[in-house]
Amino acid sequence: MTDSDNHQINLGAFFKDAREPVPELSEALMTGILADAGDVAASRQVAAMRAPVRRKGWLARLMEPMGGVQGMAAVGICAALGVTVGYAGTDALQSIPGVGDIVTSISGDPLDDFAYGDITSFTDFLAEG
Amino acid sequence: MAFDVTNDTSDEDLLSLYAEGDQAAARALMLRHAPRVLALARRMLKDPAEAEDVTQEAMLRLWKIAPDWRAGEAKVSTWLYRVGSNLCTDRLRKKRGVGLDQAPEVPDETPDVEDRMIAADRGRALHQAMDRLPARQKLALTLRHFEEQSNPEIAEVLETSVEAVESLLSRARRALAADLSSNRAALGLAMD
Repeated sequence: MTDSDNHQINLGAFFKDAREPVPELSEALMTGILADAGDVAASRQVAAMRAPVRRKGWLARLMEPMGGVQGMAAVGICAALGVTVGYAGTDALQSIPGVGDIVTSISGDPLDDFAYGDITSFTDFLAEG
Repeated sequence: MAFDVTNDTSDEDLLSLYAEGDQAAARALMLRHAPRVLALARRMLKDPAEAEDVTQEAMLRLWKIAPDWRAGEAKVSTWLYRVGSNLCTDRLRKKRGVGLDQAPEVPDETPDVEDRMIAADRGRALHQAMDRLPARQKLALTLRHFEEQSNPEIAEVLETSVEAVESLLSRARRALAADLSSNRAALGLAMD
């Protein structure tokens, strides 16, 4: 602090004279403060115990045995794919690269190449008994 | 776990322990900080009972905020000074019934010079002069000269900039010096 700051008055000396030791806490004040601390801690514990466990919604509970959301999503995708294929038919699938070959290989009558002795077709086999 | 004021556990750790239910940590925090808040409140309010109320209230707020305390954001001591000084300011405002910012820098109610000549020593004269300062200036001076806080710490307590604190302190010292100077004779020139 400069002289110009304190207008020729040594404020530092005043502050020094006015300084007092840090007061001691009275018993009553300490008791009150610690009681507050105990009350706040206790109320926090009670609040934590009373806080309801967050319950799952009815939809989540319904889906849980079927694998939850992920399981249901997989089922949904498969169902949608099945319906699509059902409506579109195998012809539509042949236009898909890669899939077309598979469809071709499994299409047609698998008994067309049937041959057993003189019986050359499944129809003959049925006629022969 | 037993704590005393001098042990090395940091305030933040004590607060965390208290939040987990450790009452010994609460006691350590109280012994470490409540006396400083009490000292500040006594100087601001000049009423020991009110000062105790403010101290208890400030500590109560610390207990409540303990679980949400964000380490590193503020010092516990600074936070307590801030809460304590705000509580004091609220009480002073209620007492005066006017906004503290509108309070006159040097009111006319100067105590009788003769009385002061007789009764006051320099310490008391200073306290009387400080009581005539606006609360914010008085708070800044108290924190700086009695609580020995640095200007950045005072800035945190007052939630303002360091430059504003310097300006506040400068104005407060000028007003204080002018007040004391006007009563130089009454003080028996007991000043250097």
